[in-house]
Amino acid sequence: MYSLRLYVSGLGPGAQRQIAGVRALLDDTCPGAYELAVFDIFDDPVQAREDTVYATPTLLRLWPPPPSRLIGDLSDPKRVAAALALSASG
Amino acid sequence: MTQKRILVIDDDSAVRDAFRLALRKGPYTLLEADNGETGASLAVAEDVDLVYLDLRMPGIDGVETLRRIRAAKPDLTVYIATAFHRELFDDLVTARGEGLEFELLRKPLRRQQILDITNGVLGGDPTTEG
Repeated sequence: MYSLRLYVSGLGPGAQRQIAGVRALLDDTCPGAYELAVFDIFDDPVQAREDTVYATPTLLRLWPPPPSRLIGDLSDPKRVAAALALSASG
Repeated sequence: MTQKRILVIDDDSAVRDAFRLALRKGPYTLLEADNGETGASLAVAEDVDLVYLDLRMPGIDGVETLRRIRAAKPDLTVYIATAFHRELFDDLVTARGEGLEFELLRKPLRRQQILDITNGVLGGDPTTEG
């Protein structure tokens, strides 16, 4: 089971695209085997600091270890999956 | 690899120096502006791939600078640099209310963080542990 957190800047069209893209990737790669929590940094700046997030968008993989993060462009599903080592066996 | 062009708009020369030093070895060309007026003009006139924009500057602030950039370039990636505190976010409420799109960058930044973010946005090695 993957545990992930996605930090976005607001919930405008750009952030909605980022959220939808990550959900689509997870549904395709590891359906039913992930938990994704979305944080708008405007609403959760303290949580962002605790997770040492310093830019949006940031996608954190908390579980399984080791933790990893992807910052910046989330538009390429292959790049996101490769960067966070997402697979059906995760 | 094609050189990507990055514009840094910040009145603090130490911040601009930090970006220059962090990105000097990457495939990047750096443009700089020490105020929002000049920065907005450069962003509109030049072909840039990414803008780092300070929120609080003398003269026109980051929000007004962003407004001018967005009027000409709605899809250009713009990072607004600020501390992650609700009080500072209040400055951005107007921008959000106007539907202005931007990403956020937490100040202060280390050089490695500048490089990580830039690579992540422009397609270099994007991941870091933890």
